[in-house]
Amino acid sequence: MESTFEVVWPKSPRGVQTRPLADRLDTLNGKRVAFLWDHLFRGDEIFPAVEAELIERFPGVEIVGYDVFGNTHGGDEKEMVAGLPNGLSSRHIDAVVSAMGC
Amino acid sequence: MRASIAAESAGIPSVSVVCEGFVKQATATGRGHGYDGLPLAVMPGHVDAQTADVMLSNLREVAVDQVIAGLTEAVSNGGAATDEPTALDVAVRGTIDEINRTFIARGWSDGSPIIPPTRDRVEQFIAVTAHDPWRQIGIAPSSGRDVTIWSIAVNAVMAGCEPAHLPVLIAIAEILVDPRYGAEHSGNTTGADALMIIDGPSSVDLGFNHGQGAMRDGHPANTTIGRWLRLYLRNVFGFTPDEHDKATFGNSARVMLAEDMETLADIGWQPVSADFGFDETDDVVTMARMNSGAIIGSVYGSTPAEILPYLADGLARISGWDLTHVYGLGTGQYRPLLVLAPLLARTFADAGWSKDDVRTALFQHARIPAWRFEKLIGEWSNLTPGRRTLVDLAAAGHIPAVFAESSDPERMVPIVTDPSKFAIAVAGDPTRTNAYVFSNDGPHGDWTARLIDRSSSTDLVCGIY
Repeated sequence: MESTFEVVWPKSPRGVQTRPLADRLDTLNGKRVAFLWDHLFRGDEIFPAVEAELIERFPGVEIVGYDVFGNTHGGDEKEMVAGLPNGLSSRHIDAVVSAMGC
Repeated sequence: MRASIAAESAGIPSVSVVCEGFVKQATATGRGHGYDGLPLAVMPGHVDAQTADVMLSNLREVAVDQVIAGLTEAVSNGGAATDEPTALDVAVRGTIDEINRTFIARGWSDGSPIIPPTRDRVEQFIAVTAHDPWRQIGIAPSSGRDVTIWSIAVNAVMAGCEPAHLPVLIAIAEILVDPRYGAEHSGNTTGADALMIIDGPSSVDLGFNHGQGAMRDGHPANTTIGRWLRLYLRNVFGFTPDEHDKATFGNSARVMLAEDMETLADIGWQPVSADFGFDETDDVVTMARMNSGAIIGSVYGSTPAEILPYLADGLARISGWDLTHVYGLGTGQYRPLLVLAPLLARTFADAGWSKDDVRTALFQHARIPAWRFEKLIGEWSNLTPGRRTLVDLAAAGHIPAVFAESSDPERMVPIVTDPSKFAIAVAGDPTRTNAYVFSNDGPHGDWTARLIDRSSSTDLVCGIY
């Protein structure tokens, strides 16, 4: 009779616990929306179109362009991303649109 | 995704714009950081293959609504309890064939037969060095899973490693959780895979092959550790196609490369690990993710002046879109590797050349026309947007002045920012004059080294008291 084996799981428990997402906004009117770009996949064409659409639908929205925060996927990505929470808060950003993941 | 995660961590709602082929990876990245259900706005198809009209039409008709919804509508971030086994639970019970079929079906195997990781085998594997099985080395930055001695050993048993390899595997795991390495990028679309280099006395003691067929399978130490890395990235770091692995092509496991310590000592050169502060007496693993490799075959010549141009040409030929790691996706992080067969290294050393002399000469000779550099990073690939020239980048202080000595598009420019960026290893058949070159993936698996600690662990001894 062929031998049988009892084997253990090759994965590992998740050390990271699920965290709540931020509260969503009731509207974008009157809010500051920051664009964050990884300098990839035509974000320089896409963000202006997103901006135009948001302003058309929410005339009171204020857009903070991607140049303000810099490249989110460059050689200094770790430092850049680590500084984002403070950078976003200090600029009173209400919401973020991040792109492009392709 | 990491930018969105940073925003959410600050209590600021975010939405990430992604192409449809990236949805699974985006979702998995959020989950790995504890943020299940991060809102996405999905662009149909891939934007790089679309006309501007099609891309913007997709944006207006599909993605913009999702951007607004992601920022203004309530989202559920999962939170449902997962039904995962604990480390010591029996995950599968069966014959060896049944176990292999189940592991493949569940995405836990690389497709080749594995050694069944029974609890006894794993415990025996760890017992040799007396490590605490539950010691946490870190957290996988992609999946959020614990990197523990136990999980290292389970996958090592599966790969066919020997218990004596455990200290090497631990050093590799330490690199994987080191933020400088950037293991979270191990599934990027271009599909690079890591090359691991071992230096020091252990490379001999543990039976690594550094000679003929240095990167060929057939030697258990080199082969099984290479296999272990892929299994570990799959099972603990989550690099499967359903989660974090977005490789368009990818590679099979790369065997571990051992340097020829005897030749290095003989010619008075330091190993690769010396570039990271170690010396030849240290047992060290050094690794980086490599995009492409190429053979420089049958190098002809008996002097440095005769053999250098061909080696430099190989480095220039291997350097394509990866040059975006000179400036762009990386900054000064393009560090290609030249692996010299011992005869070639001796040709330099016999003429009195140090490794640094070789690097300096390569900096002068491994060059490409400026127009080609600019097309590779900013036109053919669009990886450095804005069609900026090297003169623009130098003027902005992003790259050294040597890239902008004139505005002539035919001028020859370096492929790295300074000579120290060339890594040079010595390995392979000692009787042949071949070399191998690799282009690296910059910060997406950046060159990182770690000492191998082969002393018996005091983990468990400490645990008694």
